[in-house]
Amino acid sequence: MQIDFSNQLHYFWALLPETVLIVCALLLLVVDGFWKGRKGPGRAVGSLSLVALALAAAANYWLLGVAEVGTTGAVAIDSYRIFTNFIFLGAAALTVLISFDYVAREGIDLGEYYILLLFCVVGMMLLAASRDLILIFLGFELMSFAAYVLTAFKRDDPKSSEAGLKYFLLGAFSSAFLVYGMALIFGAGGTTNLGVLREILVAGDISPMLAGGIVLLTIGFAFKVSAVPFHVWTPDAYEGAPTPFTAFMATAIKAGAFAAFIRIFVIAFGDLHIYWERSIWWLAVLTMIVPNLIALVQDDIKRLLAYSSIAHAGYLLVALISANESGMASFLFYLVAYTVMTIGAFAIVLVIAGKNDRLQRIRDYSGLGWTHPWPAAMLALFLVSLAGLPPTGGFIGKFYILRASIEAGYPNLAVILAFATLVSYWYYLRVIVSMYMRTAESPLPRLEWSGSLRTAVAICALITVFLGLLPSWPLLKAQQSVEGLVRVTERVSDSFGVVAQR
Amino acid sequence: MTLISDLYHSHWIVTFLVFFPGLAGLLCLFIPARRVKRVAFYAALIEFLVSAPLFWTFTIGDTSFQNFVSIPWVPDWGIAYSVGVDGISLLLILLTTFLLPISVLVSWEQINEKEPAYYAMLLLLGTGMLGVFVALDLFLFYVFWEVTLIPMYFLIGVWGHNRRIYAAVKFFLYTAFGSLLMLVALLVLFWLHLDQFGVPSFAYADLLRVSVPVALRYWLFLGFALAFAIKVPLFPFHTWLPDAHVEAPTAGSVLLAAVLLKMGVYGFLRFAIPLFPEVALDQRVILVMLVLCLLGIIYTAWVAAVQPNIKKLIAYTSVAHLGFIVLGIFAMTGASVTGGIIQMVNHGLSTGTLFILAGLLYQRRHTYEISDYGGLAKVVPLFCAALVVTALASIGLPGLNGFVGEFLILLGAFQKYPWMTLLSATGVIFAAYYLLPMIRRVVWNALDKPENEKLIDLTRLELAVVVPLLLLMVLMGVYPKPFLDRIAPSAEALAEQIYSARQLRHDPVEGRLVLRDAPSGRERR
Repeated sequence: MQIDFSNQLHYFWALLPETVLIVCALLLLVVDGFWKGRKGPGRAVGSLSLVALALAAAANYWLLGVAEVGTTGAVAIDSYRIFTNFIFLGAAALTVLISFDYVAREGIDLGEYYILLLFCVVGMMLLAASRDLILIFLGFELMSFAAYVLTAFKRDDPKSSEAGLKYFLLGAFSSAFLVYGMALIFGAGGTTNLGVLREILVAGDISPMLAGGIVLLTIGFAFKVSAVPFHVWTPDAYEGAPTPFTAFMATAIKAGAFAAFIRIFVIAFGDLHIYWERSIWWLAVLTMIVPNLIALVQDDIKRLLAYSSIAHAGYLLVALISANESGMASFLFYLVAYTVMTIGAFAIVLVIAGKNDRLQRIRDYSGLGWTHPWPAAMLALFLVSLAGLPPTGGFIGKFYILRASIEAGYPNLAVILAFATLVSYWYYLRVIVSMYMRTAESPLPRLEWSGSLRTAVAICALITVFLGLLPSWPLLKAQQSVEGLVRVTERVSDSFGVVAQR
Repeated sequence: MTLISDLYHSHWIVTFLVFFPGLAGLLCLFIPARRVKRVAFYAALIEFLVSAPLFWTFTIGDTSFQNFVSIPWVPDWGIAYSVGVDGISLLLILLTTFLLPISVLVSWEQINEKEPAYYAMLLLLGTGMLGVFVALDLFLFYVFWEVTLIPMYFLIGVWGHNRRIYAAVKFFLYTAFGSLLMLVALLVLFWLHLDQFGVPSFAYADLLRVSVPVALRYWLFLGFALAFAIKVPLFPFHTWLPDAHVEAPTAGSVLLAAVLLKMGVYGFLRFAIPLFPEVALDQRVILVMLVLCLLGIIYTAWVAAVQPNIKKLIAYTSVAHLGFIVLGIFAMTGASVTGGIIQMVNHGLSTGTLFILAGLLYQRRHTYEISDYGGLAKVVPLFCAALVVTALASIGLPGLNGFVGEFLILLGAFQKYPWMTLLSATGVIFAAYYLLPMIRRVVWNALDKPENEKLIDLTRLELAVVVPLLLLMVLMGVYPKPFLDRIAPSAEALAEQIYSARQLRHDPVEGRLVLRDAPSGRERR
């Protein structure tokens, strides 16, 4: 099928995955309200939300065969979007799978949990799809509002409420930065369409208004992807949120923000690379070093993983700053690896924590490797992958990012990344030391992990190892997905004429 | 017979040797604890028996890679599963496979908990080590290099002695520090190749052809050299080694000393020097390296002499011996490189045996303190005979294996750096100075500790471990020719290759090759 954005109706087809998901979410709200079963609607809605995600994935797959003609619209149809959509949907499905146990255990087994998750995913998909500043803002707000509520979902737990409030305040704050920056850029460029912006903003002709806009936008994004020094909300929000949702925040939400980040900076501001690379360079360096150092002294494993996820945002920033084809492809590849290993790690953490999340200190993991070999082995695998050791997906991903940064002429970033990785070894190893080399103070009781959670962990583990041993195919896919991103600019000149006439 | 001989000339034999221990190791995880050591032993024995014929099927005098194969792994990046054997790696491979069953036997009585995981780690380590020695693709090499880290880390950290966690983490972080910088250097090299030839490739042969800009050359060499220097370990980077050795279980110490350290030397020989011949032949770099070796030889000899702990003493002797080997490598004459390689094997055998014997003492008395022993010759004569022979081999007594290697190294190095060689030759005297007093205090002296009077001599199992090692030591000392025959051509070819690589690029007559030194066409940002 061909999509021509001069025909407004075609937006429906262009946004089919989002439409499918949002309709399903609304239907589920109704199902939730009228549910008459004995055991409460939670589980059923959860299972149905998996179906919804599958439908959206099918629609997303259908998009592969769709071609864009004519002018550029507000929505991109390229394999970059389709690839990231698959990441979001996969992450959401894994999150649903690991949530069943948790919500039942913590007494928050409500249908809204899954429905909000779906709305959150719709927001992210809009972010990845949008080729327009307004739509990006819309996507952010849709994603964030659902996320604020989900963070505070354990209403009776003061920590969770605190986390929700903090996240909300700082999120709103950063949205203000974002929207103000967008307004200034609109003022400088006269359009909100990214492709057209690229044509208008040629290098060397940078006005103070545009500079201000880029700075504010950078700050807003730095908040959203939790780059240092705008990261202070992250550990608290991650610690307080329900653990499965923490996994989702650390992976999908970050990925969504990054997807838009890349679209704006690499597409719209691609020619202005020399103006923004310095500031992002510093952001990347700080984001790699600071959280890795702070993580060294964490005793709570959830906080440790939170800091580790901030550090990983730093690695992704290195891919972003490279701004070349392998940079983008390495970003996509790393995102896949990072998503599965992080969700896997959080899944094990939530199983071991037990009722009311009591056992979350690293000390509680003592001797786990010998009393509970399977969960410990899985956690060790995910940590090794997060640390970036072969033969895991994390290693190939990091390797790719290093390669991209060297190709783009940033060997200094590569060396800093290597040092940051070295520091990170220490705290990942701490958990492994605790699990395998110390003896248990009080042995853990029998763990309760249902079939769905086990399935999720197994999927994560398989993908982690698969990406490490046979990276050829996923690498190819990532590379192909990026080609579309760059090609966008070729067609912009058509639409440029249209806008100029207006 | 032709089938078998074909097999031994194909890559399948190497592939089997690399992956079989790892697979067997994974299997070990699922075997009940009381049967697992038997399975592990059979696996290791099969591994050795399969590898042994390589010694004879290896074509002597052929300096190219034998059993070579290159199968695309990640074609887009030019990464291939590419392995091969030459005179430099052959004996190291055989040393590794020979020590595998021995380290299983050593652990037989000493490891009594968590056995499945222990043997799994031991065998996985085997896969990593063998992979390092056969890999001819730098990505593959790096993967195997890192794969050795985790099993060793667990071996030290789980089954080690009191300060095991400290030692394990120190070992891991030191090694990882070097290898991460190597990774960055490797990627820069890869990028240069892509820039100059237009195709991505990590193949060893391809990267050799890259001409590295002068400004980058030293940095890249440093990236590689640091990783290898830490692993060897050269003098100022050696502090992780005594800790790791003292805390590791016996089999861990044996493999660490005998094989893992050799990976560092092998890295110098195979990668750091041939990839950057101009740097490796730069007189300043050689001076630095030789001084580090010299300091290592002399300083660690003195430190070893005052160690109260047997294992720590042996660990320091390792540093001194490895200093000798690296000296031979950097002197870069055919004889000294040959000597360096054979000395790697010798050191593996003699130091490995010393660690085994120390472990046997510990098993009986639960102490490594030299002062807790004395006069053992009267109680355990067989044990003491083995200890004395091994120590003498380690010192380099003619007729035992250590002499051959040291002699060749000194002979080769003397031609080029007479003063350095003279100074380092004092290390041979120091070797006697630190090992013989230890022997005297353990084996002779008065038998004044009552606990020592009831020690049991070597059992049959322990004899089965020690005797093959001793026989090999004597054999290599008395008749080293078959071993040297296999090493020397490759070593000489390597030395030749390094000199010619430099000469050609600096020879103004050879215009074509001088061009390769010119900065590449594309502008760098």
